[in-house]
Amino acid sequence: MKISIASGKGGTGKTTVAVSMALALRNHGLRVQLLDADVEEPNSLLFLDDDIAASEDFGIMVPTVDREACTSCRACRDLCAYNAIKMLGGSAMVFPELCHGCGGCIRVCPDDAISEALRPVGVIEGFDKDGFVFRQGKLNIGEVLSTPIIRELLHRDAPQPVDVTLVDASPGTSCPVIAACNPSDFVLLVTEPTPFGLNDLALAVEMVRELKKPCGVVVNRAGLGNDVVHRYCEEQGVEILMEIPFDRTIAEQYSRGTPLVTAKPEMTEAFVALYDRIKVITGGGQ
Amino acid sequence: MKIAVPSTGTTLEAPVDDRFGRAHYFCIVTLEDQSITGCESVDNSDNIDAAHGAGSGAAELVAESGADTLLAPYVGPSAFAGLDAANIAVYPLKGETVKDAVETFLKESPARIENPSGPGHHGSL
Repeated sequence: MKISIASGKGGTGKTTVAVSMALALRNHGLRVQLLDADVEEPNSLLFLDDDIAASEDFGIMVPTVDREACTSCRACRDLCAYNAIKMLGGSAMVFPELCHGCGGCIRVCPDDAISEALRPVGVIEGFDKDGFVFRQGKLNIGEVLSTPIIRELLHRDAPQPVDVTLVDASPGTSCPVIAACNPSDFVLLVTEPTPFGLNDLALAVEMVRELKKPCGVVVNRAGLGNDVVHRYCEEQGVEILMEIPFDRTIAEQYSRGTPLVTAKPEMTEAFVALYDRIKVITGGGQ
Repeated sequence: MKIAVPSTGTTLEAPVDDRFGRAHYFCIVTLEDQSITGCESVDNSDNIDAAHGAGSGAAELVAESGADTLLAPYVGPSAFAGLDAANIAVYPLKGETVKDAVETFLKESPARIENPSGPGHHGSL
Protein backbone atom coordinates (compact mmCIF):
# COMPACT_ATOMS: atom_id res chain seq x y z
CA MET A 1 0.00 0.00 0.00
CA LYS A 2 1.37 3.35 -1.04
CA ILE A 3 -0.20 6.60 0.18
CA SER A 4 0.84 10.07 -0.96
CA ILE A 5 0.28 13.05 1.30
CA ALA A 6 -0.32 16.17 -0.78
CA SER A 7 -2.02 19.54 -0.59
CA GLY A 8 -2.61 22.39 -2.96
CA LYS A 9 -1.53 24.93 -0.41
CA GLY A 10 1.86 25.04 1.28
CA GLY A 11 2.12 24.98 5.05
CA THR A 12 -1.07 23.03 5.68
CA GLY A 13 0.62 20.17 7.52
CA LYS A 14 1.66 17.55 4.96
CA THR A 15 4.86 16.77 6.81
CA THR A 16 3.08 16.76 10.17
CA VAL A 17 0.63 14.19 8.84
CA ALA A 18 3.20 12.11 6.92
CA VAL A 19 5.65 11.84 9.84
CA SER A 20 2.99 11.26 12.47
CA MET A 21 1.18 8.67 10.41
CA ALA A 22 4.48 6.89 9.79
CA LEU A 23 5.38 6.88 13.47
CA ALA A 24 1.87 5.92 14.56
CA LEU A 25 1.73 2.96 12.17
CA ARG A 26 5.22 1.83 13.17
CA ASN A 27 4.23 2.00 16.84
CA HIS A 28 1.16 -0.01 15.90
CA GLY A 29 3.44 -2.78 14.60
CA LEU A 30 3.41 -2.11 10.87
CA ARG A 31 6.55 -2.00 8.73
CA VAL A 32 6.69 1.50 7.33
CA GLN A 33 8.61 3.34 4.65
CA LEU A 34 8.51 7.15 4.66
CA LEU A 35 9.62 8.96 1.50
CA ASP A 36 10.16 12.71 1.56
CA ALA A 37 9.49 13.71 -2.05
CA ASP A 38 9.55 17.45 -1.43
CA VAL A 39 12.97 17.40 -3.05
CA GLU A 40 13.47 21.15 -3.15
CA GLU A 41 13.20 21.40 0.60
CA PRO A 42 12.77 18.04 2.30
CA ASN A 43 12.03 18.54 6.00
CA SER A 44 10.55 15.30 7.37
CA LEU A 45 13.94 14.39 8.80
CA LEU A 46 13.73 17.34 11.20
CA PHE A 47 11.02 15.44 13.05
CA LEU A 48 12.78 12.07 13.16
CA ASP A 49 15.30 10.95 15.77
CA ASP A 50 17.68 9.32 13.34
CA ASP A 51 20.18 10.86 10.97
CA ILE A 52 21.06 10.11 7.37
CA ALA A 53 23.12 6.92 7.30
CA ALA A 54 23.79 6.65 3.58
CA SER A 55 23.61 9.01 0.66
CA GLU A 56 24.07 8.46 -3.06
CA ASP A 57 24.25 10.81 -5.99
CA PHE A 58 21.42 10.85 -8.45
CA GLY A 59 21.86 12.16 -11.97
CA ILE A 60 20.09 12.28 -15.28
CA MET A 61 21.56 11.49 -18.67
CA VAL A 62 21.93 14.66 -20.71
CA PRO A 63 23.20 15.01 -24.27
CA THR A 64 26.56 16.35 -25.31
CA VAL A 65 27.10 17.41 -28.90
CA ASP A 66 30.18 16.65 -30.97
CA ARG A 67 30.36 20.03 -32.68
CA GLU A 68 32.53 18.71 -35.49
CA ALA A 69 30.09 15.93 -36.37
CA CYS A 70 26.97 18.13 -36.10
CA THR A 71 25.62 19.24 -39.49
CA SER A 72 23.15 21.76 -38.02
CA CYS A 73 20.16 19.86 -39.38
CA ARG A 74 18.06 21.08 -36.42
CA ALA A 75 16.35 17.70 -35.90
CA CYS A 76 17.30 17.54 -32.21
CA ARG A 77 16.50 21.20 -31.67
CA ASP A 78 13.04 20.86 -33.20
CA LEU A 79 12.29 17.67 -31.27
CA CYS A 80 13.18 18.99 -27.82
CA ALA A 81 9.98 19.95 -25.99
CA TYR A 82 11.91 21.74 -23.24
CA ASN A 83 13.92 24.19 -25.35
CA ALA A 84 17.13 22.60 -24.13
CA ILE A 85 18.83 22.60 -27.54
CA LYS A 86 19.47 25.65 -29.71
CA MET A 87 21.50 26.20 -32.86
CA LEU A 88 24.36 28.49 -31.94
CA GLY A 89 27.83 29.02 -33.30
CA GLY A 90 27.35 26.64 -36.22
CA SER A 91 26.14 23.58 -34.33
CA ALA A 92 23.60 22.36 -31.83
CA MET A 93 24.22 23.62 -28.29
CA VAL A 94 22.75 21.95 -25.21
CA PHE A 95 21.43 23.87 -22.20
CA PRO A 96 21.64 21.01 -19.69
CA GLU A 97 19.66 22.67 -16.90
CA LEU A 98 16.55 22.55 -19.11
CA CYS A 99 17.04 18.93 -20.24
CA HIS A 100 14.64 16.30 -18.90
CA GLY A 101 16.92 13.47 -20.01
CA CYS A 102 14.47 11.81 -22.42
CA GLY A 103 17.19 10.85 -24.90
CA GLY A 104 15.02 11.77 -27.92
CA CYS A 105 17.69 14.02 -29.44
CA ILE A 106 20.11 11.09 -29.65
CA ARG A 107 17.58 9.00 -31.51
CA VAL A 108 16.72 11.66 -34.10
CA CYS A 109 20.30 12.76 -34.81
CA PRO A 110 21.18 11.45 -38.31
CA ASP A 111 24.90 12.14 -37.80
CA ASP A 112 25.56 10.32 -34.52
CA ALA A 113 26.77 13.64 -33.17
CA ILE A 114 25.07 13.33 -29.78
CA SER A 115 26.08 11.15 -26.87
CA GLU A 116 24.93 11.06 -23.28
CA ALA A 117 26.71 11.93 -20.08
CA LEU A 118 25.48 11.67 -16.51
CA ARG A 119 24.78 15.01 -14.90
CA PRO A 120 24.29 14.86 -11.11
CA VAL A 121 21.17 16.76 -10.04
CA GLY A 122 20.75 15.65 -6.44
CA VAL A 123 21.03 12.90 -3.86
CA ILE A 124 18.83 10.12 -2.55
CA GLU A 125 19.60 9.40 1.09
CA GLY A 126 18.13 8.02 4.26
CA PHE A 127 18.37 5.39 6.96
CA ASP A 128 17.02 1.91 7.63
CA LYS A 129 15.81 0.74 11.03
CA ASP A 130 14.10 -2.47 11.88
CA GLY A 131 10.62 -1.98 10.41
CA PHE A 132 11.19 1.65 9.47
CA VAL A 133 12.76 2.98 6.29
CA PHE A 134 13.32 6.64 5.56
CA ARG A 135 14.42 8.07 2.22
CA GLN A 136 14.50 11.60 0.93
CA GLY A 137 15.35 13.08 -2.42
CA LYS A 138 17.30 16.30 -2.28
CA LEU A 139 17.84 18.42 -5.35
CA ASN A 140 21.19 20.18 -5.65
CA ILE A 141 21.06 23.94 -5.16
CA GLY A 142 20.39 25.73 -8.43
CA GLU A 143 18.72 22.73 -10.10
CA VAL A 144 15.20 23.31 -11.36
CA LEU A 145 14.20 19.89 -12.62
CA SER A 146 12.73 17.92 -9.73
CA THR A 147 10.62 15.21 -11.37
CA PRO A 148 13.31 12.65 -12.31
CA ILE A 149 14.61 12.37 -8.75
CA ILE A 150 11.05 12.11 -7.40
CA ARG A 151 10.23 9.37 -9.89
CA GLU A 152 13.40 7.49 -8.90
CA LEU A 153 12.63 7.86 -5.20
CA LEU A 154 9.15 6.38 -5.64
CA HIS A 155 10.19 3.77 -8.18
CA ARG A 156 12.78 2.02 -6.03
CA ASP A 157 11.85 -1.06 -4.07
CA ALA A 158 12.08 -0.63 -0.33
CA PRO A 159 15.31 -2.17 1.02
CA GLN A 160 13.27 -4.39 3.35
CA PRO A 161 9.68 -5.62 3.17
CA VAL A 162 7.22 -2.92 4.25
CA ASP A 163 3.47 -2.91 4.79
CA VAL A 164 2.94 0.70 3.86
CA THR A 165 4.84 3.46 2.08
CA LEU A 166 3.97 7.07 2.87
CA VAL A 167 5.06 9.82 0.48
CA ASP A 168 5.41 13.41 1.65
CA ALA A 169 4.82 15.43 -1.54
CA SER A 170 5.63 19.06 -2.27
CA PRO A 171 2.83 21.65 -2.24
CA GLY A 172 0.99 22.69 -5.37
CA THR A 173 -0.53 20.71 -8.23
CA SER A 174 2.25 20.76 -10.82
CA CYS A 175 4.64 18.11 -12.19
CA PRO A 176 6.56 17.34 -8.96
CA VAL A 177 3.31 16.68 -7.09
CA ILE A 178 1.96 14.53 -9.90
CA ALA A 179 5.23 12.57 -9.91
CA ALA A 180 4.84 12.06 -6.14
CA CYS A 181 1.17 10.96 -6.38
CA ASN A 182 1.02 8.97 -9.59
CA PRO A 183 2.53 5.71 -8.28
CA SER A 184 0.34 5.69 -5.15
CA ASP A 185 -2.85 3.81 -4.33
CA PHE A 186 -4.34 6.74 -2.46
CA VAL A 187 -3.80 10.48 -2.09
CA LEU A 188 -4.38 12.11 1.27
CA LEU A 189 -4.99 15.83 0.90
CA VAL A 190 -4.15 18.02 3.87
CA THR A 191 -5.88 21.36 4.10
CA GLU A 192 -6.94 24.00 6.58
CA PRO A 193 -10.49 25.30 6.98
CA THR A 194 -9.95 28.72 5.44
CA PRO A 195 -10.79 30.23 2.04
CA PHE A 196 -7.09 29.89 1.12
CA GLY A 197 -7.11 26.25 2.11
CA LEU A 198 -10.29 25.65 0.14
CA ASN A 199 -9.04 27.35 -3.01
CA ASP A 200 -5.96 25.16 -3.18
CA LEU A 201 -7.75 22.02 -1.96
CA ALA A 202 -10.17 22.32 -4.88
CA LEU A 203 -7.22 22.48 -7.30
CA ALA A 204 -5.66 19.44 -5.62
CA VAL A 205 -8.93 17.46 -5.83
CA GLU A 206 -9.13 18.24 -9.55
CA MET A 207 -5.56 17.05 -9.99
CA VAL A 208 -6.23 13.79 -8.13
CA ARG A 209 -9.37 13.18 -10.21
CA GLU A 210 -7.32 13.72 -13.34
CA LEU A 211 -4.96 11.01 -12.05
CA LYS A 212 -7.98 8.79 -11.28
CA LYS A 213 -6.82 8.15 -7.73
CA PRO A 214 -9.05 7.79 -4.69
CA CYS A 215 -8.53 10.61 -2.22
CA GLY A 216 -9.62 11.87 1.17
CA VAL A 217 -9.04 14.96 3.23
CA VAL A 218 -7.33 15.73 6.52
CA VAL A 219 -8.46 19.05 7.97
CA ASN A 220 -5.60 20.51 9.97
CA ARG A 221 -6.08 23.40 12.40
CA ALA A 222 -9.73 22.43 12.68
CA GLY A 223 -11.59 25.16 14.55
CA LEU A 224 -9.74 27.93 12.75
CA GLY A 225 -11.50 29.79 9.94
CA ASN A 226 -14.94 28.73 8.79
CA ASP A 227 -16.89 25.82 7.33
CA VAL A 228 -16.08 26.38 3.64
CA VAL A 229 -13.89 23.27 3.39
CA HIS A 230 -16.50 21.07 5.05
CA ARG A 231 -19.21 22.37 2.73
CA TYR A 232 -17.00 21.83 -0.29
CA CYS A 233 -16.15 18.26 0.71
CA GLU A 234 -19.81 17.45 1.25
CA GLU A 235 -20.83 18.90 -2.11
CA GLN A 236 -18.01 17.12 -3.93
CA GLY A 237 -18.38 13.80 -2.15
CA VAL A 238 -14.83 13.97 -0.80
CA GLU A 239 -14.53 12.24 2.55
CA ILE A 240 -12.99 14.08 5.49
CA LEU A 241 -10.99 11.30 7.11
CA MET A 242 -9.45 13.13 10.03
CA GLU A 243 -9.36 16.47 11.78
CA ILE A 244 -6.41 17.81 13.73
CA PRO A 245 -7.43 20.50 16.19
CA PHE A 246 -6.13 24.07 16.07
CA ASP A 247 -4.10 23.82 19.24
CA ARG A 248 -1.26 26.02 20.42
CA THR A 249 0.64 23.16 22.05
CA ILE A 250 0.82 21.32 18.71
CA ALA A 251 2.37 24.40 17.11
CA GLU A 252 4.83 24.87 19.97
CA GLN A 253 5.94 21.24 19.83
CA TYR A 254 6.19 21.43 16.04
CA SER A 255 8.51 24.42 16.33
CA ARG A 256 10.81 22.26 18.46
CA GLY A 257 10.78 19.45 15.93
CA THR A 258 8.51 17.19 17.97
CA PRO A 259 6.16 15.09 15.84
CA LEU A 260 2.44 15.45 16.50
CA VAL A 261 2.04 11.87 17.76
CA THR A 262 4.89 12.36 20.20
CA ALA A 263 3.44 15.63 21.48
CA LYS A 264 -0.07 14.13 21.57
CA PRO A 265 0.24 10.35 21.91
CA GLU A 266 -3.53 10.10 22.07
CA MET A 267 -3.57 10.99 18.34
CA THR A 268 -1.87 7.66 17.52
CA GLU A 269 -5.18 5.83 17.41
CA ALA A 270 -6.62 8.43 15.07
CA PHE A 271 -3.78 7.86 12.59
CA VAL A 272 -4.23 4.09 12.80
CA ALA A 273 -7.97 4.57 12.20
CA LEU A 274 -7.12 6.83 9.25
CA TYR A 275 -4.99 4.08 7.75
CA ASP A 276 -7.68 1.46 8.35
CA ARG A 277 -10.23 3.65 6.59
CA ILE A 278 -7.89 4.17 3.62
CA LYS A 279 -7.45 0.40 3.39
CA VAL A 280 -11.22 -0.01 3.20
CA ILE A 281 -11.56 2.72 0.54
CA THR A 282 -8.82 1.23 -1.63
CA GLY A 283 -9.85 -2.36 -1.07
CA GLY A 284 -6.66 -3.17 0.78
CA GLY A 285 -4.08 -1.51 -1.44
CA GLN A 286 -2.11 -3.87 -3.62
CA MET B 1 28.00 45.84 -38.56
CA LYS B 2 24.58 44.60 -37.46
CA ILE B 3 23.28 45.52 -34.03
CA ALA B 4 20.34 43.72 -32.40
CA VAL B 5 18.21 45.82 -30.05
CA PRO B 6 15.35 44.34 -27.98
CA SER B 7 12.29 46.42 -28.78
CA THR B 8 8.56 46.65 -28.27
CA GLY B 9 7.99 47.46 -31.95
CA THR B 10 9.45 46.88 -35.39
CA THR B 11 10.93 50.27 -36.35
CA LEU B 12 13.81 52.54 -35.33
CA GLU B 13 11.29 54.74 -33.49
CA ALA B 14 9.97 51.83 -31.39
CA PRO B 15 10.66 51.97 -27.63
CA VAL B 16 13.31 49.52 -26.48
CA ASP B 17 12.22 46.47 -24.47
CA ASP B 18 13.81 46.18 -21.05
CA ARG B 19 14.01 42.39 -21.28
CA PHE B 20 16.23 40.28 -23.48
CA GLY B 21 14.84 36.72 -23.49
CA ARG B 22 11.23 37.83 -23.51
CA ALA B 23 11.57 40.99 -25.59
CA HIS B 24 8.71 41.50 -28.06
CA TYR B 25 10.97 42.00 -31.07
CA PHE B 26 14.58 42.46 -31.99
CA CYS B 27 15.35 45.32 -34.31
CA ILE B 28 18.38 44.43 -36.41
CA VAL B 29 20.00 47.72 -37.28
CA THR B 30 22.58 47.85 -40.09
CA LEU B 31 25.43 50.30 -39.72
CA GLU B 32 27.86 51.45 -42.36
CA ASP B 33 30.60 53.92 -41.42
CA GLN B 34 28.91 54.63 -38.09
CA SER B 35 25.57 55.57 -39.66
CA ILE B 36 22.31 53.70 -39.75
CA THR B 37 21.51 52.35 -43.21
CA GLY B 38 18.75 49.89 -42.46
CA CYS B 39 16.47 48.33 -39.85
CA GLU B 40 14.74 44.98 -39.99
CA SER B 41 12.89 43.27 -37.19
CA VAL B 42 12.47 39.70 -35.98
CA ASP B 43 9.49 38.55 -33.95
CA ASN B 44 10.39 36.97 -30.58
CA SER B 45 6.89 35.79 -29.68
CA ASP B 46 7.90 32.09 -29.56
CA ASN B 47 10.26 32.90 -26.71
CA ILE B 48 7.87 35.23 -24.90
CA ASP B 49 5.48 32.31 -24.53
CA ALA B 50 8.09 29.63 -23.79
CA ALA B 51 7.88 28.08 -20.33
CA HIS B 52 11.66 27.61 -20.27
CA GLY B 53 14.63 28.59 -22.36
CA ALA B 54 13.56 32.08 -23.44
CA GLY B 55 17.09 33.45 -23.04
CA SER B 56 18.82 30.76 -25.09
CA GLY B 57 15.99 30.92 -27.64
CA ALA B 58 16.39 34.66 -28.01
CA ALA B 59 20.15 34.20 -28.39
CA GLU B 60 19.49 31.74 -31.21
CA LEU B 61 17.08 34.15 -32.90
CA VAL B 62 19.57 37.00 -32.70
CA ALA B 63 22.34 34.76 -34.05
CA GLU B 64 20.14 33.68 -36.97
CA SER B 65 19.37 37.31 -37.79
CA GLY B 66 23.01 37.81 -38.69
CA ALA B 67 23.64 40.37 -35.94
CA ASP B 68 27.19 40.51 -34.57
CA THR B 69 26.39 42.86 -31.70
CA LEU B 70 23.62 42.99 -29.11
CA LEU B 71 22.55 45.83 -26.86
CA ALA B 72 20.79 44.38 -23.82
CA PRO B 73 19.79 45.43 -20.33
CA TYR B 74 20.24 42.05 -18.69
CA VAL B 75 21.59 38.79 -20.08
CA GLY B 76 21.40 35.68 -17.91
CA PRO B 77 23.91 32.82 -17.96
CA SER B 78 22.18 30.59 -20.54
CA ALA B 79 21.61 33.42 -22.96
CA PHE B 80 25.13 34.68 -22.42
CA ALA B 81 26.66 31.28 -23.12
CA GLY B 82 24.62 31.04 -26.33
CA LEU B 83 25.58 34.52 -27.49
CA ASP B 84 29.19 33.77 -26.70
CA ALA B 85 29.09 30.56 -28.75
CA ALA B 86 27.66 32.56 -31.66
CA ASN B 87 30.36 35.24 -31.30
CA ILE B 88 27.89 38.01 -30.61
CA ALA B 89 29.32 40.89 -28.58
CA VAL B 90 27.05 42.23 -25.85
CA TYR B 91 26.98 45.87 -24.76
CA PRO B 92 24.75 47.71 -22.28
CA LEU B 93 21.48 49.12 -23.59
CA LYS B 94 20.84 52.82 -23.00
CA GLY B 95 18.15 54.91 -24.67
CA GLU B 96 14.41 55.30 -25.09
CA THR B 97 14.01 54.10 -28.67
CA VAL B 98 15.91 51.71 -30.89
CA LYS B 99 17.49 54.65 -32.71
CA ASP B 100 18.42 56.35 -29.42
CA ALA B 101 20.02 53.15 -28.20
CA VAL B 102 22.14 52.69 -31.30
CA GLU B 103 23.20 56.36 -31.37
CA THR B 104 24.07 56.31 -27.67
CA PHE B 105 26.10 53.16 -28.23
CA LEU B 106 28.02 54.82 -31.09
CA LYS B 107 28.59 58.02 -29.14
CA GLU B 108 29.63 56.48 -25.81
CA SER B 109 31.44 53.32 -27.02
CA PRO B 110 30.68 51.50 -23.75
CA ALA B 111 32.80 48.60 -22.53
CA ARG B 112 31.76 45.16 -23.76
CA ILE B 113 29.87 43.02 -21.22
CA GLU B 114 32.08 40.02 -20.49
CA ASN B 115 29.91 38.09 -18.02
CA PRO B 116 26.23 37.23 -17.45
CA SER B 117 24.34 39.95 -15.61
CA GLY B 118 22.97 37.70 -12.89
CA PRO B 119 22.13 34.20 -11.76
CA GLY B 120 19.46 33.72 -14.42
CA HIS B 121 15.86 32.82 -13.93
CA HIS B 122 15.28 29.73 -15.99
CA GLY B 123 12.05 28.07 -15.05
CA SER B 124 10.21 31.22 -14.06
CA LEU B 125 8.18 33.56 -16.21
